[in-house]
Amino acid sequence: MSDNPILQVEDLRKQFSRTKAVDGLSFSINRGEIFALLGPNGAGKSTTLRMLLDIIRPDSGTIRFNLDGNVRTLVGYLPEDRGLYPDLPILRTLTYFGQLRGMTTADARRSAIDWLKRAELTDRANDKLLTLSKGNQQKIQFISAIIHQPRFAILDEPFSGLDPINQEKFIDTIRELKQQGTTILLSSHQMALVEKLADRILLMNQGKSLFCGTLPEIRQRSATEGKLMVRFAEQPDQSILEATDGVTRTIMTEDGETIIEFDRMTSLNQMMSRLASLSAIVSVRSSRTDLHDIYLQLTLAATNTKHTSQ
Amino acid sequence: MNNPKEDLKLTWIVARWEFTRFYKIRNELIGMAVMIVVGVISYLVTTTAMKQPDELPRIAVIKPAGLVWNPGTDMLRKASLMTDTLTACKQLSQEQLEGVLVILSGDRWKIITPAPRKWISEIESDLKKQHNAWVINATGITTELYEQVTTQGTLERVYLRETPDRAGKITAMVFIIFILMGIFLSFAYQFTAISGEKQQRITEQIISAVKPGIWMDGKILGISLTGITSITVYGILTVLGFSLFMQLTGKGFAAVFGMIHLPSAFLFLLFALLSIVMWNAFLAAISSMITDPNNSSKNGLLMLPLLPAMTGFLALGDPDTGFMQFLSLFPLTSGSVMPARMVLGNVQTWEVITSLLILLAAIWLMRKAATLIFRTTVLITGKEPSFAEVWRWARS
Repeated sequence: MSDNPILQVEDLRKQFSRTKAVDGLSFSINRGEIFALLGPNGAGKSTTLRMLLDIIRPDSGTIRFNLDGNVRTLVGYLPEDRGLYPDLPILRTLTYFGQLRGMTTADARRSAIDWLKRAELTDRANDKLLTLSKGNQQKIQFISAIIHQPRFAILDEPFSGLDPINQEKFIDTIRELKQQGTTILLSSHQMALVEKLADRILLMNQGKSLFCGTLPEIRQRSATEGKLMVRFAEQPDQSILEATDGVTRTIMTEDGETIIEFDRMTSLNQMMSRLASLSAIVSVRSSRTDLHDIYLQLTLAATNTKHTSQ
Repeated sequence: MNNPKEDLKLTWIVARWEFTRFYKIRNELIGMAVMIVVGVISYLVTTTAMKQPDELPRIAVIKPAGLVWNPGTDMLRKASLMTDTLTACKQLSQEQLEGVLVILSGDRWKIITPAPRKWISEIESDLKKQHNAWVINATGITTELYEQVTTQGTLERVYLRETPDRAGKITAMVFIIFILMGIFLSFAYQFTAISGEKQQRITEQIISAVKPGIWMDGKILGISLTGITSITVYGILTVLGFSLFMQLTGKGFAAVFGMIHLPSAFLFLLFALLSIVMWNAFLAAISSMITDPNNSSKNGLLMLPLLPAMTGFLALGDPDTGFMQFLSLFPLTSGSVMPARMVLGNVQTWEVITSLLILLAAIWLMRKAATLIFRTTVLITGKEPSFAEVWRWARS
């Protein structure tokens, strides 16, 4: 962790009626990194982001931005609940959002035109927002959040409602922002997309932190099993495979491969020699546990712990 | 960190945005042109409908034999004299006649028509004149003496305090109307600006950039300016139109300015402007609680702006009662009641100053309340919160 994080959050709490939306959350974000809050709907991600931006006041806890200047003008925000003025010209709206973030009218207009050019929407600059397709409206919303080249951008579910092509474009733009020095905090429940972008990840569930770290760290911590995809010359019987020492589970795929999960106490060499003794191996691939699986494991573990302690 | 200069700049950016978003001079002029066209058409239609037909109505007169009948109008002179009421009424029902006048005695008459007719008053006047002539003739008194007997006395009213001049009264009435116009013109915009933005989910992104107080102040200011600009344009065009009318009717252009008391007008303008801003702050607070303008239980509150107009006109009738004195200090009504009292009543300087100070304090408090309510309800887009809930949340 950096000595001079751009944001430090300590013991943040927020309760709505009887629901604890955020429950003692602490984390810090380093300058220039992409930090992701990851969790299912209702995990407390949006509430956390809103508290960071002073849209909602926390019940307790501290939020400290280390930015030189006014946080409101140095931060950009893409809210989960999207909306812009549907019946006003796009360029005018973007210029207004730039002005609200401390830009002069001329600078805001220039930046809006630049971004519209990059989004291939220059010819629509004076059209009303409602005349654009949903995907293009999303682009405009995104531009409105980062038009002032923020030092810190908070993007709440930036990929929701986007098709795969636009998702990739957004990923490129976010990477570009990072290269230009913007620190990015994004929240999402689309784990595969977060996996492509994030330097560090905070896994959240029911307002609490499950784990915080880099993706390899998360894998290291959560990986209790290895996974191999094996194609045998002659497919051994599943019961024989599962009876093999170290194997925890096997799945036969439709294309003739066998997914073999084995415990971490067994080394890869040991497992390979045991499998080879059953039948000749034609091909073998190892598979990493993805974020989705890790998240499910951690959530399940947290839930079990909670139930056990009760 | 607070930076008043930066806050002021942002407030002005929001105010200018709201103003340019809603105020469209082109639309205003088109609206006015449509109003003038509708006015001219209505005038033409009304005058045509009210115009007496060249042809006299067909009337039958039934009178007792021997009664002197000496009508003064063509309508009655050319009426057919009949003796049988039933026959006349039958002809009336068959639309052969338009009216049947039954003379019951020298001073009692009855007119039967299918429905009210404008010419009945002309007949009535003729009959009264005939009756007067008959009385003078029968009693042998002179016309002058008869007029003295029948004329009612007059009461001359003398007031110790200077009576209000017509110019001052007209000025006060104009400003009461302007306050009402300013409030109602801007309140529709206030709704769209706050509830509409919440519905369209624009608010969250904006208040991540500016403080809720700045956003609210900008809205109140920008939309008040919309109403104020509208009434300024209407005011200028009304004066121009009236001047043109005066010029055409030979009274001269300057006659219009004779109707306006300029020193009062400046003070009334101050009350009108502050009153419009105060009401906008009030409407902003109400709008912040509304999640769906089409189905809100708080829509009834939006009729409250009628209050200053009603009380203003009441004050024009009876300005110096204790209740009116209170209303001239009460910020929701002072904008209209104080000008009315200043013209017609007995108002001390300290009352005017106190009223202005209370109005300013009310604006400050109302905008604070609007900000607090907005901040509390900003993310609520579903079920509308009750007043009690908003109060509880705001306190917590």
